[in-house]
Amino acid sequence: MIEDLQTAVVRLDDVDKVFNQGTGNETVALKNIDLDVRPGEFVSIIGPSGCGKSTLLRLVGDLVQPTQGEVLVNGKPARQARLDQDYGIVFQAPVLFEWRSIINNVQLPLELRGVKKAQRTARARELLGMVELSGFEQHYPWQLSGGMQQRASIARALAIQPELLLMDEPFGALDEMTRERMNMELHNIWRRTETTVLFVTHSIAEAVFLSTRILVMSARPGQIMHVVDVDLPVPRGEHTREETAYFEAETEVREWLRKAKGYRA
Amino acid sequence: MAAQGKGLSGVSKQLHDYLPALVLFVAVLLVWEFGVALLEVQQFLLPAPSVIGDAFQENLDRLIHVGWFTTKEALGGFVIGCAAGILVAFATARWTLASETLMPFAIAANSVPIIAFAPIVNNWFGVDNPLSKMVIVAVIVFFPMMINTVRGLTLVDPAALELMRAYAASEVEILTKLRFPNALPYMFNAFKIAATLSMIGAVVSEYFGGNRSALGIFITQEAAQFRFANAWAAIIVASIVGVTFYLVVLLVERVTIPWHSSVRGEQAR
Amino acid sequence: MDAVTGKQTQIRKTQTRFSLRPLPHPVRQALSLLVVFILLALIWEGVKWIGGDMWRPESNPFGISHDPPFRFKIASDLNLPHLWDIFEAFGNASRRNGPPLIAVLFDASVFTFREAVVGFLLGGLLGFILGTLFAHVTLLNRGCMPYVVASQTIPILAIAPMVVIWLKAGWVSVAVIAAYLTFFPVTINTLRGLRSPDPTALEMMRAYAASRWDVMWKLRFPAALPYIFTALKISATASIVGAIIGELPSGIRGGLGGAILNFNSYYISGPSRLWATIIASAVVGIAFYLLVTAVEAYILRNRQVAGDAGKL
Repeated sequence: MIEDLQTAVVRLDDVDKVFNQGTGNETVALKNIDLDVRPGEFVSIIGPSGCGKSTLLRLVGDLVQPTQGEVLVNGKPARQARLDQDYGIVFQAPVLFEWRSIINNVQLPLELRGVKKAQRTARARELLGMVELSGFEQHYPWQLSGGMQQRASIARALAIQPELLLMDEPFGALDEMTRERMNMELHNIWRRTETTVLFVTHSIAEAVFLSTRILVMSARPGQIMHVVDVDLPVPRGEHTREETAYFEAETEVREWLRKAKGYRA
Repeated sequence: MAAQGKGLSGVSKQLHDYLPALVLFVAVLLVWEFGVALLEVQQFLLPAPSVIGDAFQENLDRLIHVGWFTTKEALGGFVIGCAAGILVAFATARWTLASETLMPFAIAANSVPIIAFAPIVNNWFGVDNPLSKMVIVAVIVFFPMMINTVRGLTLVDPAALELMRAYAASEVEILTKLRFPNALPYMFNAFKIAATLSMIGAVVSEYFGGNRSALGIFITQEAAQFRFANAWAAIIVASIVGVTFYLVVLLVERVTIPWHSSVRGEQAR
Repeated sequence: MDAVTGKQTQIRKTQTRFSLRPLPHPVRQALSLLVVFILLALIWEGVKWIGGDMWRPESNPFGISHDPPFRFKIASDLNLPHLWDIFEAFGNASRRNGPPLIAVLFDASVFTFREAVVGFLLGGLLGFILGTLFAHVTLLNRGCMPYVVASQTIPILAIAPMVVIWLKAGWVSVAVIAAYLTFFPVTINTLRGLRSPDPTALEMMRAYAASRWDVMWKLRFPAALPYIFTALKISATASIVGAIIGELPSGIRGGLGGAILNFNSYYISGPSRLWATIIASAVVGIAFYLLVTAVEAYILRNRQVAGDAGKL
């Protein structure tokens, strides 16, 4: 693949990550990671548990620093991109502040950016509408169900209109039906906002349904073993799950996951 | 979820909540009153509630006077001690190393019987000076306040910290928008502890000598002259002030952190 | 080098819990202990250097002669004796031809410690029983809890004389007063701890048709242990305070409370003795706290997070 350096939203160049280097319990989490993510792509990272998927995502977000190699986001060092608030992030837990109402939680990144109150309230309202939480603005997190909380945290991630959205198993704690609905919603949000998404998951179905590209990782030390291109037409919907290309992609991912050491299907 | 129906059935629900306590209160009073009379318990062992009630009425003016004097000492100590505890906590929590090094000492210092210092402090500021009691109360209150605040500032959900860093929040923003709100429930716990401790601390430190218009002095003098009903009346005054103090903190907590689980009641289980 | 240490602090920051237990390196901890003590001593003597009484060469170990620029009342030799004078007081006889003060204070500490331990055990047991009852009988909880809270607003010193009359003057009545201060935290945290198990764990016990007794001893009690130890650590301190306070009005002179009263009345002639007594009280308080902490560390050695559950 020939990539234009300028247009890569995320670029990892021969990145290694070693935890506790030089101490007794040294662990090599990631090894020789090369990755380019182009604008508008939806890239999923899938792999056995403990393979360093989340670490990879945190490297891009500059929440951990690489032991070796370089991480670029929007053509600048990951640290600079973080300071410029170039990305939004969603964790597996909603991480809503219990002392803030839903609307105030969504506004948090805007507040940190110094956006004026009227403006950020309007934006938060709009986003809550998008994730179908209108009417819950003044509720507190504990009054919402798990799925609703996670939708609020997605709204928060979108608040700054990021060019890049980092998602770390955002639907891992939800039930299958809620998860499928959330997948549909996320797909629509992705289409509408044309945001680039880097998505960590351990669900094959979810990865295939959402992604344009899937990275299959090996067990520790995490390496990118294989890349699956998903050529399913957009917009996707319920019909997508019945297409032949969908099953083929699923099978391809599953077979590669089996090869990944330590993966037990 | 149970909390959502709150407010509608307000009065009857509250009555239902407090009824057992009220019933017990009346029952204990009755048993006490008649038990004392039946068993012919001596006055100096345990005066009957009615006798204490009479003593209370007779000495009302004096009790209010001495009660208010000691309340001021307790309040002053509460304010000084809590302010100092919060300040030191914020200062040390700023530097992880400092708080990690100092916390074991703060915890150890918290197990020092502070009251032993009362006579020394009396010598410093003068036995009659309310300041010497305030200082003792302040020191008693300081450690729980500081320890709890440091805990609240440092025991932050790591994911929340990651979120703040992902959005390039500055240290000040992390403090004001994450650590401080996170610390509030811990601080209110400390305020509650401090509220009861401050009144007890003030009364007890008066045992080592103090102004003649102080509650602790009144209690010891009346007890020394075998006017136990008066002493009991004064004890009840101290208790009422302590409970009031505690309830005020509870009320402020309710207004300040309505979102916290300790305020909104038991979470649905 | 820098990169490594930077990484370590980073990892520490991302750890879930802030460690309240001693620092990992005992040497570093001993060092910081030393540093804190030296700092405190420097501040102490620094205040005396600035605003204390005249330093006479024959009365300090360094042979320094110094006239402090100010005279603070707090820093006078009467109100804030030199540290070396306090240490010297430990070795001197507390009264004419008597044993050295340190021996007197040791006896007093043992005396007070005994009262405190008995009170601690009594109060701990009472607190546990009350907490268990409240956890199982809702009506009892609602009826009694407000009074358990209110009981802590009564200044114990005030009821101490009456307790002494009820139980006769002696260390037992002091132990009862110590127990009065001890039971409250244990009650509250036993209740919270017994209610702490996960609802699914309770359901699992029900699924296996566990009796109430089994649920109590195989699930609720082990789950409550960290909470109970948190309370016991607070109670350890409280029982020492209770024992010292209990001695004051009861006319018992064998313990630290008695020593405080005694040396307070002879303060003018020897302030160092009162300071030495206060140091002894502090040592006893901290020692009891550390003792309970050590027991906790042993009993909860296999738990992931000991020592931070159910802070009061």
